[in-house]
Amino acid sequence: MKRLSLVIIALVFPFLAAAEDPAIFLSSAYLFTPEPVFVVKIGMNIQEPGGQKTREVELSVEKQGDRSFSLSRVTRPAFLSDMKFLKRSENEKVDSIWVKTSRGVRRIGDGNRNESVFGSHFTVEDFGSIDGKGFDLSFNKSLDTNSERAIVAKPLSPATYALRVIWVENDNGLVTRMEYRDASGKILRRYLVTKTTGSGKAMRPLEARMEDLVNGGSTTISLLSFSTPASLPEHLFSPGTL
Amino acid sequence: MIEEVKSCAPRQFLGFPWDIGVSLILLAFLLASLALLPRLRFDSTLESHLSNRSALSAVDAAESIFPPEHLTLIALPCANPFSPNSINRLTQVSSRIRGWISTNNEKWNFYSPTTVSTLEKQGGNLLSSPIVESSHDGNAAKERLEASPLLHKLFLTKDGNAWILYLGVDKIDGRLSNFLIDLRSDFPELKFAGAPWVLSRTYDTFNREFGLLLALAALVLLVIQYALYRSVPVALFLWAFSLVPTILLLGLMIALGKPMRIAYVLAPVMTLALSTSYITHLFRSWVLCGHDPGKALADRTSIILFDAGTTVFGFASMLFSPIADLVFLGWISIAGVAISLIVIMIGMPAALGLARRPPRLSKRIVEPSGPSRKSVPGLPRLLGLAAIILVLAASSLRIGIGYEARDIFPPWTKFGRDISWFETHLSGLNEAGLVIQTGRENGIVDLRFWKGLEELEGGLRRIPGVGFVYGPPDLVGEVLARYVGKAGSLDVTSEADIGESLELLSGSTGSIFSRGFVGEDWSNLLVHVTVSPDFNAIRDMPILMAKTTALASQTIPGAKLSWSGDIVRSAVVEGAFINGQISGTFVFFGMLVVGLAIAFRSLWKALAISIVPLMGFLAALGLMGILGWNLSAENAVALAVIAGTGVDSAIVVVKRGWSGEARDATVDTTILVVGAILVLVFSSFFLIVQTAIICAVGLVASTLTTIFALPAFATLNSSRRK
Repeated sequence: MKRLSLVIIALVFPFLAAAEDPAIFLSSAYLFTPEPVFVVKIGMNIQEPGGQKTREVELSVEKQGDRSFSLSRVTRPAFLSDMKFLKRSENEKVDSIWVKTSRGVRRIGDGNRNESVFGSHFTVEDFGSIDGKGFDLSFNKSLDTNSERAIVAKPLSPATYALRVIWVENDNGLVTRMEYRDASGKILRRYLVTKTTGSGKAMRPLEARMEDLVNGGSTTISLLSFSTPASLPEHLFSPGTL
Repeated sequence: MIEEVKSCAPRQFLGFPWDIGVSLILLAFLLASLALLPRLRFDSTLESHLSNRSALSAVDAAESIFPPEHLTLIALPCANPFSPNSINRLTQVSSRIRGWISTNNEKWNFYSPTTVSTLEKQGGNLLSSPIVESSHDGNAAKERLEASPLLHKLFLTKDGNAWILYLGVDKIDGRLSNFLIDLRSDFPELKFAGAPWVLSRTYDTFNREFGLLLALAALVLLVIQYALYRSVPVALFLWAFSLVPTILLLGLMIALGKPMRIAYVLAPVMTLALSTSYITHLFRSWVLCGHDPGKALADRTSIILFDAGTTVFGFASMLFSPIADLVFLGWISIAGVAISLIVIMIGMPAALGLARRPPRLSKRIVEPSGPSRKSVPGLPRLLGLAAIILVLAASSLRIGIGYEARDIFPPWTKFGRDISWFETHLSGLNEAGLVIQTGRENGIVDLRFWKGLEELEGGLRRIPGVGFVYGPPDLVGEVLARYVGKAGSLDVTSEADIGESLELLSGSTGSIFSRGFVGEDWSNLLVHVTVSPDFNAIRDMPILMAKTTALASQTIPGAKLSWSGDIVRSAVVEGAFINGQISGTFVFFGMLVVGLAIAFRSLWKALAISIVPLMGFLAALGLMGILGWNLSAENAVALAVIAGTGVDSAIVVVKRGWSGEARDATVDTTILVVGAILVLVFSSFFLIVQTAIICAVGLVASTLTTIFALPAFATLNSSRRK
């Protein structure tokens, strides 16, 4: 009996080991570009039921293995130019987020990952980069499409949604859409890439929209400029020098 | 004593088969209307609509920038709001409300200390946490609220002995009322106030109550008819005929597709009253004219037509009202008069023509008392009367205009007591919105403008009648206090301070709150101005507006101001109403005196008759002043009833030459009408209760004037001629 068990384990184990890890799959997915270092200037058109506002934001991102840093700062209107959001994702730790204003730098509490970025419909959590830390990840074949693979991410700490479905382009890893759902499956927010440029591994979004399906309103982002420098100054991502 | 008039057998009216035919046609109409009755729709909206919408265009424009949120206030009284028990109770109530919203997919906004977050600095960390967290004890919540004057005023009562929660609804209907009543069954200490609660409660009970009240009025009428005539068949006959025009009128409303609104509720009651009056006079004449319907009709046609004419004059005063509901009420009331005339002058004689033998009636009907004594009261009585008139006139000057929250539910009910509780424990229930437009994107992020805005808010707080003022400067102050802590200056020193604070506020947890203060593109902002309970919209709102404009011209020159909110709307609507009502009343009295003078060919008689509704008005308005009731578009319909029916009795008495029979008929009619109208005191709506009481007092005063004052006037007139 003992031998039989060992045989079964020996037969099954290689298949288990070969099964794809959604965390690894997600780590190769990207929102803007697969390049490890990039700077992108984004135009934001924030629509609410009561009106609209515009912002221009510069987003700098650097990935170093398991670590990734992103800094977003407002470039227009000018009176907000001292305002920055810094997100540091290191190893297995939950992301650390700082906000900088003309009155100083404050770290945003772990429970506030759902704070919106610059009054838009993006949150600190989902703006700039994507990773699986702090989530229970799984594939869901029934949600796959011909060209996209669906990953279901359930937050491990309290959040404003119960799960997030992330669709990733099979060919290049571009995150084409995301849905934030409640426990009953109702969609609360939806992210959708509406225009792209390039093809294959070089495919990048030109325009994307995040919609609030509960209260109405959406934020459309347009990529105004894009650069991929070899590296970015280290102090850029240091809370102390914000 | 019951008497039978045996001398004259009843006669036919139109002869065979016409009497039967007319009666059957009437019966067919009645049955058709009864069949339609279940289709009567109800609209419990209390808002009065102006015929001329342009008067409200400024308010509409302001509300298009910041759509008003219809808030229900939920109070959770507790001796110490921060005790573990109170926190637990608050958490339970909040969870229950959030659960309901989520389960039923309601588009309701819920603001509670458990759902509204504040920014908080802990060391170098910035946290956004709900004011009350179920996992924490009350001390954290206490500290958060003590550090925030704005949130303290919003979520706690003045004495700090109750939590206040806010429920904003997208649509007002019975669901809210049902949910809140259900909530209170689990949390009996809860108290509710606010327009959505009031209106949903109105919605919930109005359609149930209307039929019951009408049925009760009909029953009361039957009992009084029997008490007056002491004959079951006669009481039933008169009762049925007095109901027919009312039912036909309701049938007409259904056929026109008009829903029954609270503003129209008096129309069927007035029709009931008028038809009862006509029927009483015609029936008494039939008895006295040897049971000959033709003779009775000939005897009373001119009086009834005259009555109807003057009543139409009374109701026609409503046609000049700027309030669309009152105009419609005027038209359907006139339609009610027309239907009553047709039924009573054609249908009733035909039905009387079918009688086979004289009825047994009480002696006072068969043998009316002698003519009225035409004596002028002595000096003491005249002085007493003058004193009463003086008191009533002085009291009527105290009347406020427009209804307030306390006028909706009777003060002796749980709902009325709740409103009174809120008025005592909050700075005020009514709130106006001051919308400030800069005309350019990000226009409010301007240091000079911001300093001016802070000054304007300070100035507003000093205006008498203003309770609580809170606007974007208070929110930005809160953010700076939380972000900077005690170490830095909390004053706004740069445009970055303003913009960054607003940006932080527009985060997901704060956005729901900040949207009520700042327009999306930061070109407009809203300052909330709560007014004290004794703030009178018509009297005080124009003063507040003028003072604010003067302040703003110095503090934020160039900005465009406009006002929003129910209290502003009410000031415009009720102001237009009162102007229309005053001019309508003058038109009515003018036309009445001229019409009567021509008809009677005597200015003296015309003036004497006009005194009757005038005294009715005085009694009604004086009583309102004494009781501290407001005159609104809703209860002012009582004045039209007093004018219409009060003149009736005066004309009958004058035309019938002060006869005892005319006087008795007038008294009987008043008893019947007042009896039926007083049934409305059982209504759940204090406005309707007020209307019924005002109406009853006015009608009784009119009748007393008719009986006692008119004969004295006649004597005076005779003496003058001699």
